Amino acid sequence: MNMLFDYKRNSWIWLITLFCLLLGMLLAAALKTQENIRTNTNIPTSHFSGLAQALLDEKETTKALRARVTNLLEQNRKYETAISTGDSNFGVLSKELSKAKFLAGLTSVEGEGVEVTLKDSGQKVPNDMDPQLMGQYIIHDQDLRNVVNELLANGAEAISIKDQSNNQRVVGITSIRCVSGVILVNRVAMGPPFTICAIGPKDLLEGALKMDNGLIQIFRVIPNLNKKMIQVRKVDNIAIPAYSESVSLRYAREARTGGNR
Amino acid sequence: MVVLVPLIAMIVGFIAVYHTKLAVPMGFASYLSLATLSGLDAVIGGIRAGLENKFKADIFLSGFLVNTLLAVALAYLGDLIDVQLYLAAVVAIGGRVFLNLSLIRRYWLTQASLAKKDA
Repeated sequence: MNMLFDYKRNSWIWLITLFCLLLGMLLAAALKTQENIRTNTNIPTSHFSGLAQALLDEKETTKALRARVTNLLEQNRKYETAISTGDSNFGVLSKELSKAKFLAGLTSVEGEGVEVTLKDSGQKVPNDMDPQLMGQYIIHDQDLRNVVNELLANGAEAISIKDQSNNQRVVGITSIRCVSGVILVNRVAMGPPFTICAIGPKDLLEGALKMDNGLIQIFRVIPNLNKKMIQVRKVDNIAIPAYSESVSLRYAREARTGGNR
Repeated sequence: MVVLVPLIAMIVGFIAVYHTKLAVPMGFASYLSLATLSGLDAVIGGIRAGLENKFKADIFLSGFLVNTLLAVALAYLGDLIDVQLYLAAVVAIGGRVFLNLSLIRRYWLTQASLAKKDA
């Protein structure tokens, strides 16, 4: 090796050495900064593939947490039952409480009602289709809102929206909206086919949807569109889950003055 | 083994900084990486010039400082006007690093074959 560096012309090596020292320091600083970014933000990597993995992991975590919420709600309900059976004073209160929780959608319920199924038409969109009408081939958040509204207007007491992996209770603070191709119900991402379960007077509910100029009849304006995009079915017993997203009020608090009573 | 001295110096510098509680603001992270790349370029360019007996201290020093500052300034300008000029610096400097590395490799291979003939 020494023959590669003739000793007489070796002075440059020392300058290089000095800058190698500097380079090592720069390298360490750069590496440390990147590490800081990763540890402080909990973002495991800046590579796309790594981020994709992280996203999947987060989804798993979310699933587990959601199951835990359901569990805790169930546990809470058990405690409340225990209290109500233990003391008669509590009994009255807990009856009030359970009524309030029922109205708020915090308990799972069952009873007769209807099931409304909504799915994309699955048909090929003709090439000469008016662009304005192309949206008619798929189910939109608007469709879900219309059905829910119609059911509530006709006496539905509990409603949930179900897809292949979620079953979301519709409560007072439920939002149904579309964000870049995904429908969010209670801020949970869902996709077609949807089943809207409603407990209530099943004949009335079915009739309201199927009546002349009712929701099903005016559902889509294109003729020959798959009639199975919206279907309604009476059911003798439907189970509807409790609202399982977190319930925390940050802005509203109980009014002390008693309002305008 | 003179060739090992710069390498050892680099490791010493690395360890010295890595074990401090240095905290560069995260916004500067990409500039720091660019400066590191530029430093690597200067060192490898210097080695190549040294092997070719063309090494001049003033060129090396000014090259290191000016190239690093220019690369960072260009990247900063790119960030200001939302053009990824950062990439231009990375491609230009990275390309030169590879070129110089291959020239160093050729030089060593030539020397090795010459040594074999002599023997």
